[in-house]
Amino acid sequence: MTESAVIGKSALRDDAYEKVAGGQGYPVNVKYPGMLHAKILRSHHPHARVVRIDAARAERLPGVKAVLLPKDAPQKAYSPVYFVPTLAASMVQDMLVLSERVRYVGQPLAAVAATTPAIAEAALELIEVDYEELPVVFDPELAMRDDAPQIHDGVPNNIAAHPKFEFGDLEQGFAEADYIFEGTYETQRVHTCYMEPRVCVVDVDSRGRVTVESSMQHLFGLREKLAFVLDIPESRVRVVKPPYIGGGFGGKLDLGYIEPIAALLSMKTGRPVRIEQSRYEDFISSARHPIKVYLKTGVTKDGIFTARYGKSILDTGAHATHGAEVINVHGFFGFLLTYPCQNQTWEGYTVYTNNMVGGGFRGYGAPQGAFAVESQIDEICEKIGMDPIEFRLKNSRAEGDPHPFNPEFTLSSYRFEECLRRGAAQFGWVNREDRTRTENTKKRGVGLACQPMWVSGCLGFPDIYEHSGAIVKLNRDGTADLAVATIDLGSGQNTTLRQIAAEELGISVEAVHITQSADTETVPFDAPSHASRVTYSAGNAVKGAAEAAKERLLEVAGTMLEADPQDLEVREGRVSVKGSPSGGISVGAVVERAESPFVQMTAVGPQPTTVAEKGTIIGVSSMAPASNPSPATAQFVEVEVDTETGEVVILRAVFAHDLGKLINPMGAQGQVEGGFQQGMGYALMERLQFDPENGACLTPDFLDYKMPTAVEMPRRIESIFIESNEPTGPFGAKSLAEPCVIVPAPAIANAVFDAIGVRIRQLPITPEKVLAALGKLEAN
Amino acid sequence: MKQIVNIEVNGDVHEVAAEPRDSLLEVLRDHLGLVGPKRGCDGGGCGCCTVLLDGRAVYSCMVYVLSAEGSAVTTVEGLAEDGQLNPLQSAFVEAGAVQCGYCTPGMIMTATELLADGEDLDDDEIRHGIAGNLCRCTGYQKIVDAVQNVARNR
Amino acid sequence: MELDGFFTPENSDEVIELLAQFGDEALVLGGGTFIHSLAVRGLLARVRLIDLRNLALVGIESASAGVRLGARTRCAALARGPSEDGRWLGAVHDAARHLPLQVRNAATVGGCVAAASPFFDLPVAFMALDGVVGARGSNGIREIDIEALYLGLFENSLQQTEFIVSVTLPRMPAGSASAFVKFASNANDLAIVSAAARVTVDASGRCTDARVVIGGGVANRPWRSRAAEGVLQGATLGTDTLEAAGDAAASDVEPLSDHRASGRYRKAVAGVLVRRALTAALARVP
Repeated sequence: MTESAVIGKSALRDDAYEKVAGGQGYPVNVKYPGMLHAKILRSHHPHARVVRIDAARAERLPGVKAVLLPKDAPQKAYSPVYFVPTLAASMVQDMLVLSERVRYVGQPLAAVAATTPAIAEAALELIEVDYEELPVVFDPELAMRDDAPQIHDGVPNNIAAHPKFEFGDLEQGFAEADYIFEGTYETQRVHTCYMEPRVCVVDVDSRGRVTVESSMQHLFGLREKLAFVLDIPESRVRVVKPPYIGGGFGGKLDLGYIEPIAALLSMKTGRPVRIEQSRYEDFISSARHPIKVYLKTGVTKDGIFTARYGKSILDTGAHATHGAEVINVHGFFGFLLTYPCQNQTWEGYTVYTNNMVGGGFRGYGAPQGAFAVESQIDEICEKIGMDPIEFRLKNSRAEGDPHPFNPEFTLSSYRFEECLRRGAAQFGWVNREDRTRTENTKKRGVGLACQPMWVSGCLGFPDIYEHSGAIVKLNRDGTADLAVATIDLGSGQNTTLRQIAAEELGISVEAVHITQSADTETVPFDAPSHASRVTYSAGNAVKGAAEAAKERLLEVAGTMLEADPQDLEVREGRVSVKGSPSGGISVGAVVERAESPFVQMTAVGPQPTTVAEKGTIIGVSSMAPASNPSPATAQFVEVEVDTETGEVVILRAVFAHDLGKLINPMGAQGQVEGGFQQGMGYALMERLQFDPENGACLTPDFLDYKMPTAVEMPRRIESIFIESNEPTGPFGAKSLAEPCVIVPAPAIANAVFDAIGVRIRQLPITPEKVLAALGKLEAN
Repeated sequence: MKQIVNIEVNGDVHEVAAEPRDSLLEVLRDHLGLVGPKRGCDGGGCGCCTVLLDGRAVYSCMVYVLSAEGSAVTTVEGLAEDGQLNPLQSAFVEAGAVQCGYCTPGMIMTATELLADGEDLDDDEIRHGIAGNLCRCTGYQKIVDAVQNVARNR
Repeated sequence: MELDGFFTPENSDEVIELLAQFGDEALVLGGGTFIHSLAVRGLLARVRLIDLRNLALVGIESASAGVRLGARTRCAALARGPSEDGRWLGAVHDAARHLPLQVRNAATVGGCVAAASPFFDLPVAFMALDGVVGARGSNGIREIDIEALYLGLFENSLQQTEFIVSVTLPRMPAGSASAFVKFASNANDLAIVSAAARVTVDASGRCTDARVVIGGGVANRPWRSRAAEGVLQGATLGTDTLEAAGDAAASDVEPLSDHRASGRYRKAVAGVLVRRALTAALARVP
């Protein structure tokens, strides 16, 4: 393999230049002439039927242009999740844009469009609503009881989904075990905390054509879901691709209430309608689901799993949305596939409650599983006296092993052991008994956790969109325009795709430009920016399009150089015969020739060219990825616990990740560093809290929803990238995005145990829980 | 009832008719068409709306615009020198401190004040200095690096 | 919030007139940070804002009797220090530094005192320094001991037509130092528990005077722990004494429980923070 010119070298982001000067390209900045502003009236009750709703006074307020009530909205049930077809059998269609039955505090009930946001807000207070309150249930285990209030008709025990998978003979496995471990591990509801609010502008023209601009993670998902809800053909919805959005992290992976409400208001008024959510509205729109995981695990005294049983109860809130899918990802990648064992059973329950709905969030069910599994492994190692690295290696898969659930593939690139070994070496991992302990009130400890198996793309699950597409067009100045539907959430997807195109085309990364104007009419379908898939899946599509463009480039160059295109190559922007770079011509000159008129003026006078070489040099691809290669990861942390206040400080973090091939080192580090912040916040402080009596949100802003600032972060987060060179990946790449969010919480929990000898099985590990576990709080 | 307020923004003087409830952020974005200051929360905790008000970094969402009468405001749009990014802006690009970028203008304005007095800044001082600005993408590492690079190289 | 009027009076008498005219609806605007946070949470109804920007009230005047802080002095102005001869003011500098830069740059001394929030940092420090609040009313300036200013949660003892013009911190004798410590969830947070301590130590190492004040949710206002002060008074300040003072302070409070922490957690941490504040203050004694 020749040395890469672009891949593996840090590339500066094109968009950064714009963003440091203001950043025009965010959806939040979109304004249309004559635009109205809408606000949403939300339920104050966690469960109620609306018996009367009267907007007459609101409609009379000067400046109010339209009011939308449940009777004005289509009563057609849908699932808002972007990455599946609208009626996917794996999902539950249980939502309405506006319903007269409200199931959580904050559910939209009506909306007002007015000339200013302040008028719209004032009008909401003039809408009179009479409710018939219904019994409520906030605890999913109580919701599963026979006497619980029914949240959706025809869903007994409020169980929206109940997957169960059995492998081998569980009872036999427990019989073979020397030790059996049982434990219950609980996680909390957290928000992605993207910084740009969910915001949209929707314009419906007089012929019913809908134009949408929105801060979201999937161009085509928004088109499909909105068309379904409005009951119009998809081709009548044009979704404009934002140049960039202010973060997503999975929190913008579904149709919001705002897009259909804005569309319906635009239809009513004939004017564009903009809706921008408040931070409170964002907080109650999407969250990582709380999951309570019960584990029962058999191991031999030599540290081999003989039986693994898991039961997971997921609180999906008022609607199933992502909960129907998260439970499966959690079961497989959070439990069943993590470590091989002959005898395994797992069952999950996605349960309706009167809580807010869940959504996507980096890790998508795996963080909840990893916290349980990786914590319990630490408990096992403590009991049987085995080093946690050794234990994991005894129970892991190796490169070349069969793929755990797709028999067509092998783990052709898989360096789990190297993650543990290199991570341990850099961290300076020593066995528990050899560690030095301090006698003062601040105790230090170290911990590790892994995500041994994770996927890029979702092959193996039903219904999920996988394919990506790209268009590469070469310009006469030797540059390339790359058009994709892929949305850069902020983590640098555009730059990675530019690098892949540049490497394939033999031009510099600066010469590849992602087209700024793109929409659902002009670019090929792409699945969402989610599931750690963009580098692998969209990267392959971009490489494919670049290959196609290059093939045409070499054909034209062949006629110019009177050489067989097979003998040509492109390097540093020049086409030349392989091995003799001096005699070549520039890429720009080839494009010039291809796009020039039939007769070209040359130094020796007019010269005819051939018809066959004419036309724009362009490459198009649309393809599904060949595989779903798993990365492997290991996280090491050192913590200091203040045993007087319970505060946990992270002193050090080392993260090792087999990503196949490192494409943009600086970008990859940045993604890991940001991932650690999210994982650490999950471990120590973040939680959406609600009043246990009336369901009102107690953490509606960043004063009460705490996430780490620069002060709480460890002073340096160290990344180790291991290149296993995946044969099916673009230039050997697999994926990066999610494991770095999944593993910090269990690693921190294990380090806290190492420091103070008590195990906390409920996230977040707040100072209060630490002091309680140490027996330092007075009894109630 | 609207009142007239005079504010200087990035060197230009503006006369704006504003309601008493209008925040400086709303006036900058909605009246003057600036996009650098961002709304990321409602309670003055995210830092995305940070601007300099008479040289001091403030949450512009928390400033009643009528109280800013006669003040000079600098937003990230006002930092470029001769049409070129200033050294702090360039440092953010080069250090990889920008991901989604939504927090970036606020971060840069806070860091502008931190760097203003010309004193050395260590890692801890930068971290405490930007504690009023949240970032969800970067883990802050490369933001701290960018500010430190400017502090060292001036 | 219905913000129905924004006034910029030229002098104190005009301020008082406006306060009289609008009664409960009038709010004096300092930096606006507290008023804004109430407004976004829907805790303010109809409001008229009285902006004091045309009144001087800015500055830190140091005199032999003490230090006088104008009500409109930004908290940022207090963050530097403490200087060699200002160690007795250490708690004020500590408290000002806990605010994020943007809040420190906006919030004012008068505003943070008038807010009567136990979760704010500076009032806890001011109380440990026996701060005296100057309140301007129609009969001139009334001096209020800061402890007497606080009646309850967000409730102060100012009269309808009074507003704060200054906070004065009487100069402490030689051998005095103070410190403030805070426990919160992150660096941009209100105090879950905070503590300020001031000690005066004589040549023999005996404590001749002490103040211990606890903030955060330990009470509905900053809480001066006379029990802890009693332990310190006249004692030599060794580890055991500081520990005993912390224990006494913890026993002295019945903290609130809310979604941020339980009362029993706050109680446990209150004692620790009092001890740490005392230790830090003691370390500053020249």
